[in-house]
Amino acid sequence: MKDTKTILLGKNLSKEFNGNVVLEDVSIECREGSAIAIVGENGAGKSTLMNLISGGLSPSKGSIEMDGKEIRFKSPVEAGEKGIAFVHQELSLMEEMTVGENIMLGREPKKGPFLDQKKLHRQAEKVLADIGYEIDVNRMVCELSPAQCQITEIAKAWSSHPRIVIFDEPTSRLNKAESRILFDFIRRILEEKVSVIMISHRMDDIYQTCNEVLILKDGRFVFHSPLDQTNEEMLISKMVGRDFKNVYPERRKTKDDKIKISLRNASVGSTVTDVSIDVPEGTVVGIGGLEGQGQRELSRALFGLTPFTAGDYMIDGKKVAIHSPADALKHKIAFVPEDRKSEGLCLDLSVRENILSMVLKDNSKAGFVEKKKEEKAVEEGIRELNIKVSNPKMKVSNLSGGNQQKIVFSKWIKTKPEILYLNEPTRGVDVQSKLEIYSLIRELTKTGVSVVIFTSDMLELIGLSDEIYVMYEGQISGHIAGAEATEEKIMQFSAKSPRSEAERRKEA
Amino acid sequence: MTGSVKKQVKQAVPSMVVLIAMILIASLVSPTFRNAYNIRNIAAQAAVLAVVAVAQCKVLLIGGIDMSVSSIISFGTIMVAMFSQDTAGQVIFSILLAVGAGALTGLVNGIGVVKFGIPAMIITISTQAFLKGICLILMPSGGGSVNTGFSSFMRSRIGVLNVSIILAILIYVIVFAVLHYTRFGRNIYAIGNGEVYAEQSGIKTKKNIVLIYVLSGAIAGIAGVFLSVRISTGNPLVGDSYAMDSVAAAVVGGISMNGGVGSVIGAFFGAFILTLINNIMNNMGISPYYQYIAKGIILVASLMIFQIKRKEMK
Repeated sequence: MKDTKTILLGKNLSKEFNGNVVLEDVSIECREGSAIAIVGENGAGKSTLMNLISGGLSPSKGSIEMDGKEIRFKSPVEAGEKGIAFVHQELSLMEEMTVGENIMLGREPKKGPFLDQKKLHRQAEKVLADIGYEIDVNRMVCELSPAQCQITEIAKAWSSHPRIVIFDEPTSRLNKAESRILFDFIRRILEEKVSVIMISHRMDDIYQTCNEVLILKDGRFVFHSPLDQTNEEMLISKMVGRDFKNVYPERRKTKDDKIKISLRNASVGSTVTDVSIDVPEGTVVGIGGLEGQGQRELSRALFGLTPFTAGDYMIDGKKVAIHSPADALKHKIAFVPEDRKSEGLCLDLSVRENILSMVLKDNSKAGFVEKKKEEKAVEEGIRELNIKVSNPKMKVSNLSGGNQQKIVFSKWIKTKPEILYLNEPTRGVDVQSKLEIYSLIRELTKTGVSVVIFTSDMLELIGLSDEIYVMYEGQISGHIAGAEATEEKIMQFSAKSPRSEAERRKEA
Repeated sequence: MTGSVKKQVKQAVPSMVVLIAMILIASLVSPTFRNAYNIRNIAAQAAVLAVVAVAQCKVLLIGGIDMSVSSIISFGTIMVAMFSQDTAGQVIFSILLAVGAGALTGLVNGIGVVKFGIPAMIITISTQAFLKGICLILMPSGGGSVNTGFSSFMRSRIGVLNVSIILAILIYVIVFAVLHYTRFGRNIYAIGNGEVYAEQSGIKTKKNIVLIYVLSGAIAGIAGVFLSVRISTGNPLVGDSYAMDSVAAAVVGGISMNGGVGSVIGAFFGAFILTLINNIMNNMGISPYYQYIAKGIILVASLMIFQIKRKEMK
């Protein structure tokens, strides 16, 4: 492996912001046909390192060499021109343009002074086919599913024929089959001497595609090795800095008979049909299934963001009508949304303001804010959830995913909820924060909070839930106790609906 | 038409339907409306608004707004009225002054937005005020005269249409082609959809935005020249209503105030709809004050309707 040609070499890179060192003396070597996994907790400096080598930031110390010559990128665009493509975790697509137009944006083929739309869409189609996906290139991006958006984003990066491709959590929106296609593609481009860097919290991503691993912790280099000399446990313990055992907190031993939430034949338009669910008080009920089977719509309807079009929604045995988040709050419901950046947080406000955003009333008297009470509430919130922040006045947008998610939890816990709906609560969150969030969820159930968790992370679903419902095409296709659940059982439910089962029987 | 072009052009369909319905109903109800003189009058009035709406439309597409068009138009009428009296050379000189002043104002607007991060609404209202002051100093009340040869050329007819409306249509054809079929046009939509992402995709957003404001100003200058021919004089206040009317025409024509959605054809239909409303109300003898109210209602209603429609689509 060592004898392949080096494309890019980052030597002793450091980065500081206003005296705050976020990356110190880290080196990275991208060689032709090699894939490096960058692993580490939140705040470990992974994103900073990637931004340094892709032109988003310039290093405070150290140098970058490309093909043996020292180089300084003024912008990501310049790095892109030199062959470095970055598939960001956040999508950057134009909603009002087609898939093809997005893929070819800034590189449109021309016929005379005009764009050649036909050729453009043909070229885009070819890029997608190269990768191994099929999406109609003439569809508008605003009509796509999150997975299709992610794929379009990857195609956009690949269309520039890069020599180095950086993937940041590329499978967070993809299901297993889609991820497998991506892995095949990555292995293919490695053979074509492209260099790949992969940031991922999913071990599967790493072991499927990479051949070396670089572990960072607190902005410093920890470990570098060929991947085949490692195993998952070892990586996790190295990045957490302690032994990694028993990820999931213990399940409840006793089962409460009191049903807290109950749905009867509930529907949301045509995306969720005839769903019946019971959530016993103080338990975690997991809702799983493949992506896009109506989970998102169901979670939003439970919180009053979209209306149920049929069926009954009962809390404590009484029918409720929840038409808005305000109604939901009245019923002591809290909601951690799927997309924390657009739905869960005010990114431009401070940690302090976000934590307090739900409880302004509790911390004010006659309309005036009580400063001291607020300070105490913020201090408590930060301590309880172990949020890593030097100053509560810091903007939330400067924090890592894990810390941001903890703030979302903190702000909702302040409302003292009895019901907690969680939608993909650990997406894009590092291992350490994941563990903390898991034990937090369990602690909450001990105080009587009933939790419904919507997750596409199979291990999380099985590890955390007391009871599991699986959704398929908007319906519940299976219901199992958490302790008895296995990946295989859930996959079986995920791939067939009760209806099709019945139909099949009828046909036979 | 392929890809997003089709969808953008579709945004103009409601305005086209409304316009056709208005023309049919007005022709059935009112003999004065059917009169050839009245129809040519509408076309000439609409030509000016339509040209301003093109300028406005491009700025709205990148998520901005240009309120300075009103003073640029007034300034344009003054340039033509002051400098075009005798020779063809003077006519050209005065047009260059009108267009150049517009472009320069646009440059200031664009730099204000891009370099200083001033909201488009604020910077364009400021340059509007500045230029209005210049207009009032140059020509405190209306006056001057427009070169008669130039004026009769603009009013002469080729077939049923007069030259000014033909020129307006020509501007639309060019802008349509640029918006939908060139990289510059694609960049405009990309910026309107998300400036940061456009920048990431290698588009020089700042340069493009400044260029849009410059073009907007220049086209508003052309509209000023058209208007001077219609009113045969220069006037420091005659352009005032066009800032709001051009936004209204674009919005009625399906262009989103949030940027990135709509086609310039819609602005064309929108300009005709607004002009027709004025014309019909004039013919019915309704006071101009009520016409403001009518315009306000139409603007608010169409903003609301398009906003609801777009929400539903999401």
